[in-house]
Amino acid sequence: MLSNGEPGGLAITTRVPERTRTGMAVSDTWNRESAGAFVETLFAKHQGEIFAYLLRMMRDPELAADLEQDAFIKAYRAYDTLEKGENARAWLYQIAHRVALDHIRRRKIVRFVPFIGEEAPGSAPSAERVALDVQLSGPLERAMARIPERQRAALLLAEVHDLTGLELAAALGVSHVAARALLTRGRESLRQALAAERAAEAAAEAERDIAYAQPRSDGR
Amino acid sequence: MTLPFRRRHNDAEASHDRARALIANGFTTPNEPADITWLDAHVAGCAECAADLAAYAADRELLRALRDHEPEPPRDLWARTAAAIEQDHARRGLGSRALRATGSWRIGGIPVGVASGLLVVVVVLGVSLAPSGGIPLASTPGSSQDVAVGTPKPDATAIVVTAGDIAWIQSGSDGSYEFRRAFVDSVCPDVKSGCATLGLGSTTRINLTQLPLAVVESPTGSEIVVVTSPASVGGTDILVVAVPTAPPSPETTPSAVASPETTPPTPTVLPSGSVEPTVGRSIVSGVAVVGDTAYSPDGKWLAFSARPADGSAGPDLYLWHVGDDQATQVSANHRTFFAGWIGDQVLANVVLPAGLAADHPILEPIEPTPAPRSSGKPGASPDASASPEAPAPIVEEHPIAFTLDPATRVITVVAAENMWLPSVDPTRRSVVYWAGTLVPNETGTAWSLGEGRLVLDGWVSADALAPLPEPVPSPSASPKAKPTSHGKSSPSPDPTNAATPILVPMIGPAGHPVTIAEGPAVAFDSWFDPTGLRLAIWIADPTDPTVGTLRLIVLDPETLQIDPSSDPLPGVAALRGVSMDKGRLAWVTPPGQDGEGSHVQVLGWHGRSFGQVRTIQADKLSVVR
Repeated sequence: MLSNGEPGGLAITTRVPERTRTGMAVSDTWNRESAGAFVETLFAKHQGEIFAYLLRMMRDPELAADLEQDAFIKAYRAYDTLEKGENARAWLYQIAHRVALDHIRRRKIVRFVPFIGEEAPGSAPSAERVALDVQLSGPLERAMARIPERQRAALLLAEVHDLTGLELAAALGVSHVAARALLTRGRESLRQALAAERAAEAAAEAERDIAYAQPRSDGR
Repeated sequence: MTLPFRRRHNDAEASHDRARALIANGFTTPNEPADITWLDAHVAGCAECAADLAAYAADRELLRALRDHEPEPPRDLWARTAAAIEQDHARRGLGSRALRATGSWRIGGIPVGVASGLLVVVVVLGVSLAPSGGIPLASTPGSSQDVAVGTPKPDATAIVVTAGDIAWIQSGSDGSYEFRRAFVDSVCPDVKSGCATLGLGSTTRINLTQLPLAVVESPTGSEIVVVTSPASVGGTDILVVAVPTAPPSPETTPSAVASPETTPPTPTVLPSGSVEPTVGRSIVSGVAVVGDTAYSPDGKWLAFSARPADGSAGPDLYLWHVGDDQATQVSANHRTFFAGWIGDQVLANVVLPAGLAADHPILEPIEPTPAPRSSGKPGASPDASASPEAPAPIVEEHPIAFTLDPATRVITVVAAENMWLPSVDPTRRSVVYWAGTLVPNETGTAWSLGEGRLVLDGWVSADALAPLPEPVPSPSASPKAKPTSHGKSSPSPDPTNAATPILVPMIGPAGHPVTIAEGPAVAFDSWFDPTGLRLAIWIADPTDPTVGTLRLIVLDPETLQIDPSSDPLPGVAALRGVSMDKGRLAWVTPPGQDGEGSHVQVLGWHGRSFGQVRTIQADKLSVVR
């Protein structure tokens, strides 16, 4: 049994097959039982944070669940590619990140125009959905949605999911320097996006105030 | 420090930019001592930068506060994931024995997995079809396979729907292909719950060497039209094959197909229990079918567009009168595309070259003319890049939509510019189309979507305004006709006769288009259900046009506008070729979704209740339209 994990990271204890020079696992050491047990353990430890990451990236709970499922399927398939001593958590984030980016890329190509008035009164969302919507509809979430997805991913992984510099680089699939640059640009993008969101909110509030004040000025 | 080769707004702005970059970087990794010194000095004298510093810190705290609110994933996520992994394992030929031997993964002591999905036995009726080069198969009655699967979940309640049959082609275990039919009477709120299955169906074995490009069922359900995959040479065939009609039963016998065929390639059909093979019909061969193929609602005609298999010319419109030996080529301009049907009228497009005489008959041959070259924008001067050395871009061209009476060949031009591949709902109240231009290829034999968008609009129907005029054999221009970009019209009465009422048909969009999709689409399809209140849109992925995104749009019955409160299928991956009918939408999922192969997935509805059900996975599937 080998322990995959770095100091500070969540360790996944599992058996990883020996590897050949080509990087392929020795066939008789890979078996379904070990891959399944590995993924099940991984799921039990990280399902919540992976879901949270995907939800904050996509802002859609159903989609986040579907993408998380895809990510764990890919983890199962790629079980034998996990190097000895590699941080399984960062490896899982890398898979989830790629799944999310693949989906975003596809959605960018084919873009249905949102219905006007989606989530209109009359529909009856679940309590969980309402709670999630509240979480996803604040100024921060809206601002995050406005910044480039790679910067968004870098910010979430570093600040919310506490990935270290090396883990962040591994998860994003870029060099350490590039990851740091993404993070720096992400902070600036977030600052500007949040400022814009707050300005828009202030303007909307001012409009509401004017609307409320109007009847009183008419003497009614 | 000022960088000599970098353009700056001015020194002050450059300093602020540097300060902001250092502040942002400082939250990621410690800045260099010299940078820290410079930043401290700058911030001390710059209120704006001090505010930025505070904003960065506050934003970071706001972001980090998200760690205290971790959303809960769905409770059944592991069950779904484990089931999908099991299916993935089995599909990749690794077998399920190992899983059973080692025990299914369990959550709370309850085994999960999809292996316990319901099995539905189907009746094999044993019809075999052999295309060019294919080997006729004898019927193999008694074969049984499961039709629908799911992970049974006791608390899921099926939704009863009023959908009818669905049919599809799938590869069998022995490599042959089967035509399958099933009925949909209930669906599940969550397809993965498996609370409902597809009803008992029939199976007709079809010996094809490849999955067909498209399969279309006649409105009577007694025959299907198979558009075969193109052979290495010789193009595709369109084959008409008799199939058993629903409801299936062991006694059902497929009706024999008439007119023995003598010219290869021909399909061979073996009705169940028959010794002598009955030969099917090829109504056209050696062509490349372009776009959709569809029966008229009354089942009397089949329309499609096709071009020569060698790609030497663009597409023309073809019509096949059911019962005839061969389809007939209707147009000769090599620029005509079948779009759909409006009642008993064919709805089609023609892409006419700029500069064509306004009175040129739409369907007649067009002399090839050098393509005008310009800046690439419509309306630009053709002389703008007349130099032969200049790599001039191709001018965008404008599609014209028209209707054609298949019996009389009377043409009526739709009163709209740049309306491409319109789909009019069966109640003739709405239309969806690409509002935009087309870009021809180098040889002018194919067109791709140019600038535009996919829109939904109201439809103004001709017969709601005035009776149709007497048909005449060939169309001609008329000043009384509704003007179009090329002045084409339907025949009309003598405009000098004041006593004659205006009988000019006016058909076209209402002029209030609502954008459904926009962006660099390469292909799309659209279908209405019989009520005209459900609209399915499929848009191809440019990186792989065989796969696209499918969305179902619900229209308000009063306003015919998009109902934003109902979005039952906000966008799923689907292979090209969708079947839309009363109470249901069926499509084929791309392989690899959820770690599985392809399924025929069905979205069924009753009123505002929607749910799904699907077939078992298979390597090759094609839904019958």
